[in-house]
Amino acid sequence: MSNRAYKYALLTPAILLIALTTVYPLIQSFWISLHSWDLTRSINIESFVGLDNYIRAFSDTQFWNSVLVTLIFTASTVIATIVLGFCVALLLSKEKKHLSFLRAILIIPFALSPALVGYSWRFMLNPDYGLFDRIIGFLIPPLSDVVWLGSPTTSMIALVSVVVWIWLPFMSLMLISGLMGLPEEVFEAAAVDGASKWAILTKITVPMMKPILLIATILMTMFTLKAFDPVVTLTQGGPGTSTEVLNFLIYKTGFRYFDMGYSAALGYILAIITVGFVVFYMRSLNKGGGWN
Amino acid sequence: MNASTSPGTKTHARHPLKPKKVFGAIFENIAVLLVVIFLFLPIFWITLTAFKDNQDVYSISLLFHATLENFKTIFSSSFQLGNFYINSLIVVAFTLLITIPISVLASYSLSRYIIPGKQYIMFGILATQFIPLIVNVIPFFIIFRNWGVLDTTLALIIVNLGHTVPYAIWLTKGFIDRIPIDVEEAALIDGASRLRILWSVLLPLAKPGIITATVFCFVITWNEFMFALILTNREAVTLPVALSYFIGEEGVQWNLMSAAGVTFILPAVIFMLIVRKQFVQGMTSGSVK
Repeated sequence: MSNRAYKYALLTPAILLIALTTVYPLIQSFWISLHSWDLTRSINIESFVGLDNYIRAFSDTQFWNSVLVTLIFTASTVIATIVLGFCVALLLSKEKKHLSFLRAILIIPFALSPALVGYSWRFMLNPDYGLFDRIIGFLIPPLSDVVWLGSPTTSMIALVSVVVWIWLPFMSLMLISGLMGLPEEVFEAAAVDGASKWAILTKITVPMMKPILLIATILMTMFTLKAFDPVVTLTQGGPGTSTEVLNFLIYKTGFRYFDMGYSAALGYILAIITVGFVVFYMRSLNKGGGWN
Repeated sequence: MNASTSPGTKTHARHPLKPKKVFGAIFENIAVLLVVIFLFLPIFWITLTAFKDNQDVYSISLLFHATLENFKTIFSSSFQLGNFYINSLIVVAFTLLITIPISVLASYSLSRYIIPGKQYIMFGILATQFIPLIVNVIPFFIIFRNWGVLDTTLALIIVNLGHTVPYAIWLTKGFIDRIPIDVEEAALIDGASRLRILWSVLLPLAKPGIITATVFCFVITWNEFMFALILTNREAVTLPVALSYFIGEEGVQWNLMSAAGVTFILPAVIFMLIVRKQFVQGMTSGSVK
């Protein structure tokens, strides 16, 4: 076989598989989004309505509520994970035996199923017998009567905490390996010059870590916009619609109300938002020259 | 990740202890302790709960009579966790059996050959993962219903391939990129065929990367929840979805759910610990160079 044929022969199965399992359904989904289709009425695709489903979203209060919820949820989760992850990375990136052990087991939470994590937190936040509820009440007495999953604000705090919990170890590990890869000499030179710890952190460490921080932010935004398991297992979008992120609204519209066309259209809107975010970040990353 | 081989940490030469330093060290240790509590207490608590009986479940005391009863119950005929376990194993095994060879071949090609528009291909492969997967569930639901394979493990294997293959390609390509090309050239001069080189020269060298990709794909497939929730309802239910079966009308049987949870996460945790070093390297080399 010639070299030329050979390289494409190796690549084709993968491309074909991705095309069939991702690209093809994506096109199908767009086609469905242009139709009005109630699955309880008909099992076959119904009337073509053009962009009606997309237009409908703009006058749908549930949709706008969901957009707002998604923004709050995503912004808080991403900021909290990156900031905390960076702090954890600074704490754990030193050459000490117990820290090296901690770094090693930090991967364990990442292996856990987000669905189980959601249920577990529901258990631990239970106002009657939940461990975390007791601990929080003990540490901060005014919070002892809070029913965490019972009100919109606290429910959102709980959901954000759980998603931060899920991703913090992985993001920390990524940032740790970034920190440990920074050239030693720069820090030594700064220390010789008598720079304060704070100055070293803000003037050297953070700027040098910028590409990795940006990639971590891109990944984290993608992961958060896709978050589904924790919402289903922890809050079910509630109370009311206070934690109903777009991903969950799409699921509800499609598989509880069986409004397939509208659900697909909402999916596309979420896809556009996600791609928009990623492109925006990638651009800032390219300015720094960090992407490949 | 290994402490002894990594250069750039910022420990300074030891000075006589100043009060400020002691304070800083105490503060640091407390911070580390808080991180550990936050990340590991939930896991510890669920593990404990798995061994509690129906009464102790509602107490936060550490003193309780440990029992294995929950584990017996979940595998009994009333819960049949064994069936869900088998479903999960089938889905993971077949997904990996298809994903890994296909991805390794593709990343070899992308790593070693000049392919027009390679950057775009790589970006396109990753871009498929930007799309929220929920968008694809609707067409899959329809397609599988038409084929009559809703609620089968086959359906889950097909949808899982859509997100394991792109990740596996990115992971293994990062590793293959770092293997010096000279090794292959030497073998080529000795007259070995391309396939022969790939099999007996490159594969052993790329092993850490392939293991990393396998574990990563194992974990995402093993934990996959959304597709399983929507595309199965009785026959092909996998472990993450089966957890909801412990939520009944009279409340949640937390000790049973915890026991199921522990047996469910155990394989993933063990695999993760075995390959953690390569895993973190691989994950970062895929995105950062």
